[in-house]
Amino acid sequence: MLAAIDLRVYRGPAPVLHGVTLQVDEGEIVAVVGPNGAGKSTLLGALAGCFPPAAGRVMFAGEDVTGTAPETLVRRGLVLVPERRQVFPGLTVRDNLLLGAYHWYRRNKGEAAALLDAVLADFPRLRERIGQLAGSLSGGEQQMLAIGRGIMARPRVLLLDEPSLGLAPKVVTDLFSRFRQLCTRYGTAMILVEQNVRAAFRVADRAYVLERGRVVREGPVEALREDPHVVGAYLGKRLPAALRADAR
Amino acid sequence: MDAGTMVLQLMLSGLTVGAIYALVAVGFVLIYNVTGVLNFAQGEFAAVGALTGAWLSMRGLPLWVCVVLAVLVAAAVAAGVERAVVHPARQSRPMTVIMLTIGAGMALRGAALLVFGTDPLAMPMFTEGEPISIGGATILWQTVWALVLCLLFFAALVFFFEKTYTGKAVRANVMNRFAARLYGIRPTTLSFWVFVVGGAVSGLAGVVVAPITGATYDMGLMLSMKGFVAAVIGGLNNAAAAVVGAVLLGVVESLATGLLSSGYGDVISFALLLAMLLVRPSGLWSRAEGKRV
Ligand SMILES: Nc1ncnc2c1ncn2[C@@H]1O[C@H](COP(=O)(O)OP(=O)(O)OP(=O)(O)O)[C@@H](O)[C@H]1O
Ligand SMILES: [Mg+2]
Repeated sequence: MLAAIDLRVYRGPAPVLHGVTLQVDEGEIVAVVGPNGAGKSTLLGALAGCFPPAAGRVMFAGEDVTGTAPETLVRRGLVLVPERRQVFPGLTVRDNLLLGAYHWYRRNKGEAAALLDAVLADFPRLRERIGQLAGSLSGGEQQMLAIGRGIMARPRVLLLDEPSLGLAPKVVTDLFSRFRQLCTRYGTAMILVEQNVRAAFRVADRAYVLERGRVVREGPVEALREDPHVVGAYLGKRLPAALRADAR
Repeated sequence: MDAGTMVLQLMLSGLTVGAIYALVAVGFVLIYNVTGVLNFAQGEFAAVGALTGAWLSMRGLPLWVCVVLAVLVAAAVAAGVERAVVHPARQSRPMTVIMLTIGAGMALRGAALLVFGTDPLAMPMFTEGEPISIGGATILWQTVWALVLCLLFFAALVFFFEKTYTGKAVRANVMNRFAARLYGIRPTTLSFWVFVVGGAVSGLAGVVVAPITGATYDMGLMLSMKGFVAAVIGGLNNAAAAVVGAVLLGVVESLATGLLSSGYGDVISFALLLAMLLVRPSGLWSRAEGKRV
């Protein structure tokens, strides 16, 4: 469905991704984990068209979409929910969700209303706050809103960048437990970038471990749970650097 | 005329000028907030409107046709500037784009000089008739037009941003340009249309002021500057504050010109600009965090 092939990306003058190859198939949930500054957000941004790669290709639905602008990729179903949620604080919950459907709303308002209703059924908290400004929501609610607006875009691949950021452990568990169901219901695949490796592994089919701009491990999560490097760096008893960052 | 009446008279003419500045300033603020471009060709769109309207009226077209065509031509010229100058430079640094808009303004002034010459063009008032008398001072019907059109435009703007889907998309773009693209909102499309609207409203300002001041090829430069000063007084990111800033500027200028000497109006407005930029760069009414649009 979506694949990065030997992707090399610069942020400013600095090389951040040194040839990353990764793919996600239809209906699959793939986790990308790694320490701060590994290039996870850069990878998602590059997939979504925000950072044109210096080399390598991005394939989406059988087409080469390298260098295509994000606003065009959204229309094809490649939807990024960026880091730190980035909802529009001065607009209401309803407006944020409806703007998620920006590229098709005018053509089919009835369907947009129906999809809005479905999303609100998935996130009842949002329905209670439908008329409230997004800026006045709690972190968890804003994350639901960010994901909800992503679904409103009718994604075929949904890219989520650290949805657990700043959320209480219980909220994370609750939110993540719904990802599988959402993917099935709305027919989308998902790439989940996470620092919370345990939570990500609970919901993902496969995972990639990204360190300093390179994929150092990949495979089904069951296999990675046994991998000594992954256990040592991300799943060990002592809180390693990668997990301490959770406390941010 | 006693001193009180004179001050009232000066304030009323300041209001007219203020309404014109306001229309230019709102165009300025809109373009700046949607595209991030400080468009110093803004006043030239007003000049285009004034010159077009006056030229057509001298050809004997009905006044309302002249006004509509003036607004459309100004909008088209603004759209041309966007496509020819701003769009190709969208990846450039802000300073480069500012230089380009100044250059575009000079080019437009040059073109206006070639087409219309140096002599001011006259245009009839929108409404014939005696000026209205208020407490000994008089107010032109044209001033009423300026104020009413200014209010109507502003009401339409508020409606657009608060009530329409597209208006909300534009606001989203203002709040977070990066995120807006992820929603599929095309910055290049918005940039084009905000220039069209900004050009139209400046053109309207020009064609409204033309019956009072006449239309000259070089009237745009001062209007650009005054629109900019008004926008800065309002903090650059708030259209309503820019309108207030514009009216304030118009009245202060008018008082300075009338009570001191004719040279002082511009001096005062640029002193005001410097003071604002040095002391309150985020606007006279800014709170800790500026609220945008
Ligand atoms: N706008 C930028 N300009 C220059 N360098 C940047 C920029 N954004 C990020 N970088 C650099 O790119 C590298 C990777 O950043 P990225 O945000 O992709 O990491 P990440 O894996 O998402 O980290 P985190 O877990 O903290 O979100 C970092 O070294 C960072 O300093
Ligand atoms: Mg990140």
